[in-house]
Amino acid sequence: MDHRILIKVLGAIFVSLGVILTIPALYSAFDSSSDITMSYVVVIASSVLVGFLLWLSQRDYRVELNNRTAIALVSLIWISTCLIGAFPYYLSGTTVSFYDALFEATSGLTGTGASILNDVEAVDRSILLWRSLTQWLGGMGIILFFLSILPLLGLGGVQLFRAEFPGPQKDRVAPRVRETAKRLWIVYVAFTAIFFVLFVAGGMPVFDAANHALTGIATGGFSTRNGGFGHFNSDFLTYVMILAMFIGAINFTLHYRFLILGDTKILLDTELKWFLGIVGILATVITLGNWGSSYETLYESFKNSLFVTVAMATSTGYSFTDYTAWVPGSQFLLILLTVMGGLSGSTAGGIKCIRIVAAAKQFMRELKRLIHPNAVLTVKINKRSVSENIMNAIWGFIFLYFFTFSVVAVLLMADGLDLVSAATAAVSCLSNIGPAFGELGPFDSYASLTDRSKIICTVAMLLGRLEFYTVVVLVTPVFWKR
Amino acid sequence: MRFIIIGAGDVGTSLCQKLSSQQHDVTLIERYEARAYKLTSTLDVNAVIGNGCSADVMLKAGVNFADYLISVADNDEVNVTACLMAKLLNPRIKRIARIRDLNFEHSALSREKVREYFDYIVNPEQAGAEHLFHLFRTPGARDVFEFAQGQLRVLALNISEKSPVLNRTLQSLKEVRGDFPVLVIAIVRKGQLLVPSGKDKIEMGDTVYLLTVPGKTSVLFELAGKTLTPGEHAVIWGARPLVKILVHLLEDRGTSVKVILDNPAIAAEFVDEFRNTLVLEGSGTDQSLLLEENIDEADAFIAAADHDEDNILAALLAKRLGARCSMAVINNASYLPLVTAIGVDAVVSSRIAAASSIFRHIHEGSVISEFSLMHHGATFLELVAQKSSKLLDVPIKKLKLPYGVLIGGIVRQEEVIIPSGEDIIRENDKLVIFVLRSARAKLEKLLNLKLELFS
Repeated sequence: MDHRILIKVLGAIFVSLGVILTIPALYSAFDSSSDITMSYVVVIASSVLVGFLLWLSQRDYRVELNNRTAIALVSLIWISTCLIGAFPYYLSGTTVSFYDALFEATSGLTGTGASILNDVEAVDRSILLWRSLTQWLGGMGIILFFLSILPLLGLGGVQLFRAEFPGPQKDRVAPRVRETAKRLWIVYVAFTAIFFVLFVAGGMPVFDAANHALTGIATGGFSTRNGGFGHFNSDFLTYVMILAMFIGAINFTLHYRFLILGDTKILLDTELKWFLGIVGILATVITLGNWGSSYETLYESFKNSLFVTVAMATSTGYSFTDYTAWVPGSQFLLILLTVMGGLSGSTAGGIKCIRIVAAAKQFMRELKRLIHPNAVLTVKINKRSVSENIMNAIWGFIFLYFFTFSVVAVLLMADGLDLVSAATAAVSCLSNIGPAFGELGPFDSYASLTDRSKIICTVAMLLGRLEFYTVVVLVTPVFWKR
Repeated sequence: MRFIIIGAGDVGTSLCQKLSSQQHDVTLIERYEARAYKLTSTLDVNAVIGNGCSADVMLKAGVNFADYLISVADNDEVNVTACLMAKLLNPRIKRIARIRDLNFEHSALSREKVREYFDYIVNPEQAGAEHLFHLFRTPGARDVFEFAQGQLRVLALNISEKSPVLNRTLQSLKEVRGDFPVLVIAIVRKGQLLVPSGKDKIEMGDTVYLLTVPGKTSVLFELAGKTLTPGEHAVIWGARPLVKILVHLLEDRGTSVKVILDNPAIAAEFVDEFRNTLVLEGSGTDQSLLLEENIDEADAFIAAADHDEDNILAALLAKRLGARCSMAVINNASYLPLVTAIGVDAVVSSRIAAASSIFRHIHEGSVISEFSLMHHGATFLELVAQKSSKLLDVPIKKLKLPYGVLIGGIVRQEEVIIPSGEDIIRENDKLVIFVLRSARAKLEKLLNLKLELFS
């Protein structure tokens, strides 16, 4: 492991984080109702100072990253960003304990949207802005963000890119990783701006519109209202947000190719078709299931079911309506959708649609093999065979997901949560959704959990966001062997 | 700049490495996913999987925006078609192809006609075969390479115990044999490269790099304690593309050549093509076959089979069985320092040569040719002295050249000078410069130009 490059890059990251923190700090300084500017100044000053000193100590050190160092670096960048991101909550007194602050920061950066704040409307608005901003930065991937703004990361960018996006699809929109990162971020920023305008046009106050634009496209789910997105109670806004979440959950490479290159073939993308199909069918089933039981009219049932289904499938998790009161079948389908999550290369979490598709296709292939034992059969995605190596990685991932899920769920139960709450909270954290079922429904907060459970959830969120491998490999002996 | 490279073979790989590390945009087109994946997982290079001749694949790789198309796939047909297709899709793109078929350049097509479709054609096998031919003509030399159309020659010689200059200083070289144009450039002693001064002594086992004119080669052999007897009898194993070119060169000189080939079909081809060459079927690692064919009387054994490892082993075996000199053709650059250390007399790598000549063409700088002592971090350069250079019109001893920069030769039209401190460089002179990697930046400053070197 190359310690010097770790120190140098982390230094640069600390400085950049300090610079990003000036956004809520400035908001706080200009908002008369906010009196916590000093806490920001402390965090910014110390993070910039420490970062600068770290960077200064290794400024002449230039070397290409190797795989091992890149993996360690990605995990370290995420962990230290979560730690620094937690200080504004803690120093401003928004949360009592540092665990709570860390939970909130990690939940934000991983795009989970689980919160320990019971009354968000009472919280300082600059803190709400910071909360939304962390989701927005983390949604597209902080490594991708730093790759596009820090030239320093140009060396070994491939390794970093692979460690943050371990998914099977590796299409790049530009020959170089740095340029790819930039272009994807431009698309992301453009979408955010468009939805901000649409929200304002739909009658949302500017502050709420900005926050929801940030957290919607990031499929994060933090809201500025206690009633979540349901607070706004407008059909127009509801459908705009459904669209925003959908767009956030689609692979940004596809967006880029469709919008910038005018490539219409992406509409036939295997993963996209499957995602639309699965969500469409399940939303219909859930609508019909809730019609007459939870909702009187078909339209009410359709609107509520569609919003919640999309919010859960895209791993956003805005509070909208109390789905824990729905018929059990609807609730179960929602849980299944949260396990799957969105498309690879999107801001959504979960196992990712492409892995489910590949696994399902392999299942069909094995059936076929029973009948034609000598046939050469491959799993095809987008008309191309998926190599055996990638298939193995997919199965390994699915195993890791369920293994981690079991461990997290058991630990939460051991800490006193009931079966439904613990199991669904585990899924919710690993898939970066936010709300769960049982005691942790859409209008409950995670504040009631013990500190121990909060730490377990914090770790689970990070594991899920980095898709396991990158973090898990750090605790294997192979990684530390010379 | 934006590059499209077709084929992730050895040449494609080293071009990808070099160009991406210089922050160029590189997109690779490769037929086999596994080969492409090996590159994209470590290099900042994008890959498109597919047939390099297909218009769809090329468009996907961004042929419309690219500045260069470099086609170095394994077969000529792909490379030719790719360049034609690229011209159809984007007439402005510069096209470079590797074409091994010699008939292509020597055919009825006019040079202008070819230039219209190909900006640069590289045929590494030709250069590789010529290199082997030079080595064969000077058996016993570690290495031979030529600059300024053969007007200057660098020889690498091992000093044997019979050398008359053993344990004498470099200055005494000329005392032994009178004055003649020669310059000791570098000495490799126990694997370490030294840039000697006049007071350093020559020791036994040293490999000495000397710059001279071709006519003085035999004198230098004498000084190294060897005799120069040009090769008469060659045994070649393998069917790499350069073998045919080499056999043609050797046959034209009247050398007796035996070629060992594993594949009967290729052997039949050789029998058709060559009249005075004995074609044998078998393997170069077969001891009894080598002995039967009197390997101990061969002046040189050249191993040019498909696998580097086989070539190394065969060369060692032939040397042990008594061949005067054994050479191996190798593609894997990481083997180069090993191979000469364990006793193979000389190594030729045509793939590395191809990558480096393409690279030089792209940077169309003033470097005419480049020869690198890879594992020693040193390079011989041939370049033209530009007007902006700070070396002009001052006696060389007043230039205060930094350590690690040596001006070895000056070619002014027909005149060849191995310079002493009094000589002066003029504009448009061709220079042969030896430079250590550590001194490159200083040399760039002196020349006032950026040296885009491959090594």
